[in-house]
Amino acid sequence: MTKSRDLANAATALNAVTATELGFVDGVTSAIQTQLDAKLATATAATTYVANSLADAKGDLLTATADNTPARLAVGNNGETLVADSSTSTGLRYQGNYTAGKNAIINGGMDIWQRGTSFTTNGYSADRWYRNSNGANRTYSRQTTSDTTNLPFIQYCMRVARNSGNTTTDSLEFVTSLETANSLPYAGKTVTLSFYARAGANFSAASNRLGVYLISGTGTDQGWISPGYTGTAYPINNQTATLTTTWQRFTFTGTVATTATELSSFFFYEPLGTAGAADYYEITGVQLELGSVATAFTRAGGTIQGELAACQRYYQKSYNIDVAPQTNTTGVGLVALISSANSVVATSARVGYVFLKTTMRTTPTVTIYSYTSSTAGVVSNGAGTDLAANSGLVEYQGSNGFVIYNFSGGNITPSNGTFVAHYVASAEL
Amino acid sequence: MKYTYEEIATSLGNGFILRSDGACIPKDTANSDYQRYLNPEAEQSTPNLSE
Repeated sequence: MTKSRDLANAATALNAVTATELGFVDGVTSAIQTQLDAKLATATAATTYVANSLADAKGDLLTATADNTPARLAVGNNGETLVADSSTSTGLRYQGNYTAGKNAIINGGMDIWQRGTSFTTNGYSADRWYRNSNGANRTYSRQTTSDTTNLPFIQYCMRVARNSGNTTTDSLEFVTSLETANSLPYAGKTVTLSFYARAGANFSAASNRLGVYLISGTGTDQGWISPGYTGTAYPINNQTATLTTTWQRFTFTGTVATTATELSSFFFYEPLGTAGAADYYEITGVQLELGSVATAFTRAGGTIQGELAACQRYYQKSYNIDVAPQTNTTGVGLVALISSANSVVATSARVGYVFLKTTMRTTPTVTIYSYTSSTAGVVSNGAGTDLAANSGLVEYQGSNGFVIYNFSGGNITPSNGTFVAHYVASAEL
Repeated sequence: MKYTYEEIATSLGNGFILRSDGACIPKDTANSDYQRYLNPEAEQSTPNLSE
């Protein structure tokens, strides 16, 4: 009776079930509920799903420390950006947003060459970069990188070369110094110096070594080459970049002392034997930034115009950007000084005032050059004729401009109502 | 490069330093050329890190 009643109830229950649905139990070999329970038990295991407890706060990220090993990355501070960093457990790290002005090295991309494009004596070469070498027959020059594969589209580089056949083995050094205002943000911080470099086919340094320093000092606005630093320390101390003939990026990390007030980036190579035809290295994309990871290279000035203005804070000239100072008979850029009523200017009298293109770091040293022969300390008349010695000296210079004086000891006479001259102004470290 | 220097007086102000290459150096202690004029020994003390 009971069985009959059960069958009757089952028939009622199955009334809404189709034959297709009944077919879904085909192949079942054990209790379905038992199988479902076992499956759920497996699915809740830590090896299958990430536990909710891994997230602790708003903004936390789910990342990993290894294969099948999830981990939490706590949200960064407001404004910070997430960067890849293989030295951390998760391969990720938040850091301050240093995109604007993150690179402390002005002209790290070797874009600006106001003084010329080839240098064989010590002094500033590419803007902000100082050539230093005790030996002769070394040429520091601008070159095109000619590589859009291994470089992030950087147009120019500095080539530091020992001339072919030269046997002098004194080191070839290349340095840029930061003024104190630009160094202080790095005091007490971890910093990373990065750059792109490659060797010429005859690069003669032992083990293809390019030496790398980051130097700090405790003075104010000193150049490291001259007069030199006080309180010298080495956040990056004599590291080695092993060059090949292909562009590579090198990165070095160090910690700047809390007392540091000035920084210099310094590179050198020590040649061996007799120089071949391509005994050089090339370098560009130099970047010094906060943190332990080298991020993509950017100009300190942001744009090419910004970089030029940053360079002109230290050095500027009247000549066109692509004309080296003391290029004779260069009309473009001449400073024309109007002489009222075409009158002569007596000795110890002012010839005129010149406004500088950008405000300079401090009161600059100024040199006046004549039009025809590029004689220092001389102005020319409006017809281009160079006038007397010391007719173009400079006084009352400030960070925004200067006065040209006639100290020739006699009168100077304009032509076409003007005197003309070129100038260079330097407020370098 | 070894330079020689000459102090030039002007009608106003403190005058300036005329360097032998024709450069006019202001008497401003923040100017590195003036620092080298005041301390010529430092100009010749180029450090050498490469050794």
